[in-house]
Amino acid sequence: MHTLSLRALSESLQNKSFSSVELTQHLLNRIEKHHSLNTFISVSKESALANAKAADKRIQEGKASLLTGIPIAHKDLFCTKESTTTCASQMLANYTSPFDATIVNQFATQGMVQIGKTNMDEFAMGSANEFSHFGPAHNPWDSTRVPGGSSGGSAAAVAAGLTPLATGSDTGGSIRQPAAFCGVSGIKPTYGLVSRYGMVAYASSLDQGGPIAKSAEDLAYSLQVMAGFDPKDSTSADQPVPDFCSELKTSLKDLRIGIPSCFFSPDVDEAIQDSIKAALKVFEGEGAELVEIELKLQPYWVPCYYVIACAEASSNLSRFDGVRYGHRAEHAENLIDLITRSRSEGFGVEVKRRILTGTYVLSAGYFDAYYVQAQKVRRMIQDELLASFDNVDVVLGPTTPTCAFPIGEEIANPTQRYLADVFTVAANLAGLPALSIPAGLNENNLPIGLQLMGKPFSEPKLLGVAHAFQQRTDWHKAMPKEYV
Amino acid sequence: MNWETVIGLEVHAQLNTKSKLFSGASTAYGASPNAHTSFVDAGLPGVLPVLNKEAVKKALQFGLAINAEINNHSYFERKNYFYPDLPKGYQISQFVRPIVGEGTLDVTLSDGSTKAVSIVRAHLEEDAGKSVHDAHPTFTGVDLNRAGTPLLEIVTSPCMYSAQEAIAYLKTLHQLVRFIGICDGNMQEGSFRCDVNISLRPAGSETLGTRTELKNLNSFKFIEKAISYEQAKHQDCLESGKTIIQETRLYSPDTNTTHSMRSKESENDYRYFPDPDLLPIFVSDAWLTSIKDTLPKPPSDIKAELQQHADLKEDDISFILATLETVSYFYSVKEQSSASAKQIANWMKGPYAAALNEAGLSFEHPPIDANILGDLLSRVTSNKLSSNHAKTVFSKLLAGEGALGDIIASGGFESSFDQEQLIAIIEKTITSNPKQAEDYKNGKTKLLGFFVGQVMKQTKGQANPADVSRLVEERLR
Amino acid sequence: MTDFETELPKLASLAYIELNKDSSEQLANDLSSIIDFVTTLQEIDTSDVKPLLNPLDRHQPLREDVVTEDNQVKALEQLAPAFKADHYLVPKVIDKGE
Repeated sequence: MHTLSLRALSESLQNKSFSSVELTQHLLNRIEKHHSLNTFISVSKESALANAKAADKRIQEGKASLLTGIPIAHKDLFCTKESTTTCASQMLANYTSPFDATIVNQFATQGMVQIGKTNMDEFAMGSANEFSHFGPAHNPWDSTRVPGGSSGGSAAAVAAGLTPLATGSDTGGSIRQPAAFCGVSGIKPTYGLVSRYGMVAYASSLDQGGPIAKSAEDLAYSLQVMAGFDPKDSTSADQPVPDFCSELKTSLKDLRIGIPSCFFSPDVDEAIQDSIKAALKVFEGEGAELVEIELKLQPYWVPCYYVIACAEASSNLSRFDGVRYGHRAEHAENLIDLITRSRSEGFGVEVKRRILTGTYVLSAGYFDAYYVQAQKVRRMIQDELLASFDNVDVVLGPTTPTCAFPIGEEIANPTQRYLADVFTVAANLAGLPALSIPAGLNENNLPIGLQLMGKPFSEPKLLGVAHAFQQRTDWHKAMPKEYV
Repeated sequence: MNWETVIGLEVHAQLNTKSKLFSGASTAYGASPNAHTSFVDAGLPGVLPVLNKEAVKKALQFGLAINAEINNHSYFERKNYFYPDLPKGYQISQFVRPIVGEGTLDVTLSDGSTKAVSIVRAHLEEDAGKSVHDAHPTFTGVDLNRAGTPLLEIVTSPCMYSAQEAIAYLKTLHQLVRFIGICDGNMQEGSFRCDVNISLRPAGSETLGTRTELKNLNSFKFIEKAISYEQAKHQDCLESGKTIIQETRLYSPDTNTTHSMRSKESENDYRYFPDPDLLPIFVSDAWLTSIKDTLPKPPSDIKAELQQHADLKEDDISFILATLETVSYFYSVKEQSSASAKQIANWMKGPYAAALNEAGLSFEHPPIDANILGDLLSRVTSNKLSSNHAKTVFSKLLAGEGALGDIIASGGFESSFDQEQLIAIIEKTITSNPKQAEDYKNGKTKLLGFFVGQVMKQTKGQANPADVSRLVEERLR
Repeated sequence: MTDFETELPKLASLAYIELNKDSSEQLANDLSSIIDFVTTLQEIDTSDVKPLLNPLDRHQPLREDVVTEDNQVKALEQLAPAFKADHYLVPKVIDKGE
């Protein structure tokens, strides 16, 4: 049951090969069995089974939709009334949201069964799921290695067959990079396609929620549920939602694929380069045209991202002061003491680093040189990327420069970790859709991800190209043998 | 040394929308604590702001009323600081690009001259919650009902030079925002809050001195007193060679003094940056035009119209212009009555105002409708009712003794003499006394009293002496 | 180049984050490398470029002025660490003057 696609699961539930309750129980058992992966922060056994029962009834009555009765896990920064929403932080360790995030509602309306909240980097700040108050998550392909981050728990859970679908959030690569490290498929939609209401904010102008699953087709079904204008989110796009499956069957003939030369620098692992080149051969074989493109501003992507992300985060996290919710320091002598100690006790070190960095780049004297400069560079980066889409339909490259690295690996300084995002941040800066799909395994049997980036609101095309690749290759079907 | 006081004023006017600036919670005053605090207002994780259209409209109405530059594109910024009444740890405000730019408000000063006060900007921002300090011995309580209420912050340039000018501006502004319907101006409830920036400089100098900012001023009286106190304090300080510290000071009405506010907030670097949860506000020319076309008349226009009535004096006009309701009532009576503007004004200022005061009412919910007062005054004008009797009838109306017609009939207040009959009597009296008429025309104007007395005798005292006097005088010319 | 040993206390104060002897030095070093890393942005000539505020080239949607929210005081009380008589409680503060 845990290797089936969403469509196969749906058909099985419809023709009663098994029930939602059986499926849910099966996955709950697997989660329990593999709890050492630490992919879940909380599991909702009772409510999941109750919802599964209700889903079975709905199926019985012929009122089901495609995803009814199928379990789903939500990254623990999506507000859910059921269970806690911790953002993997001490600050919110016992926080239960009084409302559901819009996307949580959307999936619940379809009759999906929420089985639990997944592990992540604290407040979505990290690329390895190493900064979690609840301990690191592990990569099912090699449990001594990171699953990537910040949506590490979600990607690992899907990879290990603990849930067929999980939600993640992506601010600088946090869906795509863990998807790549775990050998699963994940998409960051165009900025504004998916509502951010109820998704705890890290960097508001960069954040987007999106699905992580086993295939592009599954991503299409999930995105169909998540996408759409939300009047509660001023930054959500008010425009018609396309059928994300509409281009799944499109041929690749004459598809113009842009290959940025900077994506193949010596910093990229050889195995990854080889996999991407092999993938390109597949595309060429189907009639796609490869076009080399130059993205001159690429060296500035990551610095630009960090200035903006930290600036916005430093402000977004100011609401955590111990007054209305969350962790509150005890025996505070005065107000300053209360707020300062609540925050200092509640936040982990990476969060503090980013808050302080953000405070710096926004402060008087540095604002113009850092924040305003970054906003200007951001426009230039967006312009350069949009211009490249005049000549190509999609931009292709590796999702990450390396495969999953060991948990607890010593690093010289925090900025070393930032380089994991070197290929992914551009899509967030420019607001473009981008996905990652499995494209190989390296010499250590670690997954390699291939990234596709497209024009705004071109998700049908991106998913179509990804699907075409997955029709001709089997990388997305690979699973670490202990979890099959 | 001659010192010149320079004053700049910042007013926070609460816009009278039904819901908050960024959430659908109610803005109604007086609810139990935190009953109007939505999840968005409480700054819960994951919530997002959505802008209230009516608040934007009211800001635009203000901009148009002061002939200001309107920025078709403006945006919100975050003002970052920590305080328990600020749930998100930042206030959503406007900084670099406010919705309303430079405008002017013409203010009439006490000597009758007009001063064009320069308003530098007016911007939208959300209000903070309230701290309650005396409910608990060791804790301060925080009520977030007010958090998120829309404010329009109206800032002048430092262009006022005395407390009197400052008060005149504030009163004019207070009247304007009420008359165009964007703010109820209730200073006790905090709907109209004034902060004063004051500095002194040697008379004739071009450079501004160091200023202090005065807060916690919730009546015009206190503002005037606070300015006087602070002005004297600055002068003492400067004359003894000390430097003024730029700081915020709170006014204390009990002691009539100001003291320094030693809060961290005043030393803050607010780190303003554009709010990434909100998109730029766009005001189309079409929308602006439609707002302009439906803009309620500003008090200055109403004043000009009232001044068309030659018989109305300045204090009559001031009385009528006190509130929009008074204006509305006045015009309503005028429409439905043959009484003159002056007569109506006198009645409203006199017996009616007295009655309202006693009952604690206002022209917003007048105990006697305009059409009834209008009818009453028409009868006085046409001499069907003497003004003395009219006052009695009025009291009876207030006491709820019945409808106007019934009260007059049952009290026998009707004048036997209407205008036509009176004129007939007057003309007869004149023709019957040709010698006195001749003498009057030749300069013995005191004889007017003789004629009036004659007429009054014939009407058994029931005619209105003022009317008789006027009518006789007209016919004697 | 900013000296983060001196800058850090100011930043921590603005951000209401406590510094203690152990973490201070490490944080100062971390911030130093982070800011070094992002300072490369200053190499780019952005003289004619307008800042990008939001990747969506759209305007703010406007909401009708209708009350849509109910009284949530009970839900808020559940979440609050210190709440009494419908008020959030904090250590006594000096009035900032309203």
